[in-house]
Amino acid sequence: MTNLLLQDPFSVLKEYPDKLTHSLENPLHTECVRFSPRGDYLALGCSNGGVVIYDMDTFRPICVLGNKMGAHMRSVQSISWSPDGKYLLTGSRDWSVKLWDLACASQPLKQVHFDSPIWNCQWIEAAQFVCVVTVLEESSAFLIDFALDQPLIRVLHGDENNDDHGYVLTSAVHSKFSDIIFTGTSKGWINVYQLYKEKSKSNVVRMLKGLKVANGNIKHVIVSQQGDKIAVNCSDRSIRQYAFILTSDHSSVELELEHKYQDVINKLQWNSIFFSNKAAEYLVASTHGSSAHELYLWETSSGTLVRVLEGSEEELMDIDWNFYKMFIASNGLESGDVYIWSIIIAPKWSALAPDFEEVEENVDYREKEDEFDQIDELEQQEELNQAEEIDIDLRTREQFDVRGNDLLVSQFTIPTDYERILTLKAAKLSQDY
Amino acid sequence: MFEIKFRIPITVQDGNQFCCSKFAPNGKNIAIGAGSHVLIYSLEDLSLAPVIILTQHSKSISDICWSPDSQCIATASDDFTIGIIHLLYGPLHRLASHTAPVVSLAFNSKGNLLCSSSMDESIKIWDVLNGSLMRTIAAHSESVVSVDIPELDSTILSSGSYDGLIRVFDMASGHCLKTLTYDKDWQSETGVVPISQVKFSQNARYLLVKSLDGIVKIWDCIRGDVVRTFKIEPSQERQLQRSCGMDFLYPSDGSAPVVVSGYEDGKIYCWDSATKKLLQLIDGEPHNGRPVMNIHSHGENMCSLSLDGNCYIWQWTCK
Repeated sequence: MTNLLLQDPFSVLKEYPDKLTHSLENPLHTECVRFSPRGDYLALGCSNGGVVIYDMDTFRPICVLGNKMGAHMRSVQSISWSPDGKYLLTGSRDWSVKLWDLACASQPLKQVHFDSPIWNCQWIEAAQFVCVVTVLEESSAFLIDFALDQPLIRVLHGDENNDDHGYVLTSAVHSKFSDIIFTGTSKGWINVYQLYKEKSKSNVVRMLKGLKVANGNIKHVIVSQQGDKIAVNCSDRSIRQYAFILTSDHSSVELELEHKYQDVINKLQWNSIFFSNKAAEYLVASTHGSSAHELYLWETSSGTLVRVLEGSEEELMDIDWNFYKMFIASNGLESGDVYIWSIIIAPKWSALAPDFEEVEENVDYREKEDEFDQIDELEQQEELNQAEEIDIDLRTREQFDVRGNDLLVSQFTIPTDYERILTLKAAKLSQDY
Repeated sequence: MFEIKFRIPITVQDGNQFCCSKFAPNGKNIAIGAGSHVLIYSLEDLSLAPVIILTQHSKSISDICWSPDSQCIATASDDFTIGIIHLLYGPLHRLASHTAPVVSLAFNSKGNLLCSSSMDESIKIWDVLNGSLMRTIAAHSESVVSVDIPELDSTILSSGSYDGLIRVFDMASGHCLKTLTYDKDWQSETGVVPISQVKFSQNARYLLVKSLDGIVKIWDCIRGDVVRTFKIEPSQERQLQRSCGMDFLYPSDGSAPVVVSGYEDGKIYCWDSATKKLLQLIDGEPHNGRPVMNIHSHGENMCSLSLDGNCYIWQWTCK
């Protein structure tokens, strides 16, 4: 990300995108959106069961999962990328969860069927192929271990007392400690579980905390990148933000309410929520209802609304935010298109002519003391020679970009589909004739 | 020190000029542009006859670039077009939009964008999937003879032109981010020195630049100053006719990268990038005074190609 070092630092270090820059027309009607970890690709889950991957350099579709066989039959509800960007998990209303290897995306690698539609699926430990799934009208979430030939399904069930928590609607995995899992239920409970290994080597589940935060459905639980904040989106029209305090041995958990976000005027529900990077200084949400077409962005420390992301002409549904590219993507309810907000960095004209300087307004020219001094050539040469004495390192890459993202995380490149290029070319040729 | 590993047995046909030889990223093949077609040799077994790829070009090829997956080659030709050819499936695209010979090509690391530069003074970025032109960058006032994209950081692009400027661009927006030039160069009596080749270091922070007077410099792209200068003896006052090749070579023992540069008189200079010490001077044999048109390294292998079609693979061994 050397480009960031050469751009205007004030623009580069903006903490959130603010301009609608792209919209992706998707005739298949987008239901959910997820960026690949490095923001190279965007996966669109579609209402007909298709999963289309867009390239974020060209903003064009490059890959359709299951184009040979095994695609979902109904609307895709949830997508999760593995951290290396090679494996994709998709959950659908056709009652199945599928695991895809993007090196060979024409059919799913493995799949699991449940007895009702899938709400949400998420990787816990992608390296071990373990994920968590929530299913319609089930009182517990499920763990799936895809590493085995026959994927193993287990119920995520701790030592809950007999309170009726309702159905589990959503789940989240702690961003730093993958052994901590959150679930949200239809009766307003947030449950925190810990997975740990016993001597028998199988994962054991322990419930760390159960907290009733509201009376309505819990629609989303999200965790900040640093893992010390969570936000809960509830159907009672408010988003609650909690400080998440975990003891170092992961034995107990505290949740402290920090803020409650509401639309006081219209009393709207929130469709989806997302935190900004690192310490989660911002929270972004999409509004339910046809009257609002914007994303709202709050500052989490004070709870004040700082920005409204405009530009789409319809109600927005799912949200994803990529911190490498600083893109926010959201899908429209009516058209099914995807809108992308990003940071626009103005061209620096002085970069074209290094001896010019950009100034904000006219400045009266005043000759500097040494401006037209005869420069001693020897002295100048001496300076240049000195510059050649310093050590240079041509090999080592920076570990972090200026925004603090880790650059050394390896990222999978989706192989180019040459057969598709040839097919498109043949189609174009026959059209021309 | 470089030692000749083997000579590539090219049968030279009349009138063919050779100016480009490139290792495939997987190290298994080498592509050599011979006139308007490309010869692909297997490095695993050089006794095999080369695969001859007949392109649709009507004039000779001046640059070849392998796609990062080693499955395709892109060819830049004097007939103003670019070809993208899959080694098994055959031609994928013929890209036409430049209005003068195309001289340099670079793929980004994902292999989805191809960047080209031409004597029409422009740089173009192409979508490899459908062969459409995505962006034209017009920021030079002379032929743009070299473009490079760092292997591990496809966010930037550098270009070198006969107008003497080295520019760094943002791949996503096409904006110029930095121009590397000496004020001093503008003041010299002979005017600016045309740039002949640019090449990023592995970490994308430094840029190796060769100009037509034969001098090789390493620039710090971020700070914008020269951190190393490599000169040949005796200094060539006159401008050279041809842009001869150069490249970095990264020894596997982790020692300082070697700067390898070829010249019109068949000599190849190898310098230590840290100390500027001349490590080796290859003189006379094997290029016998013929211009070394291309230098390309892969791992510890380096290939040198002279205009008359003599191509050698060299192996670097640390002393």
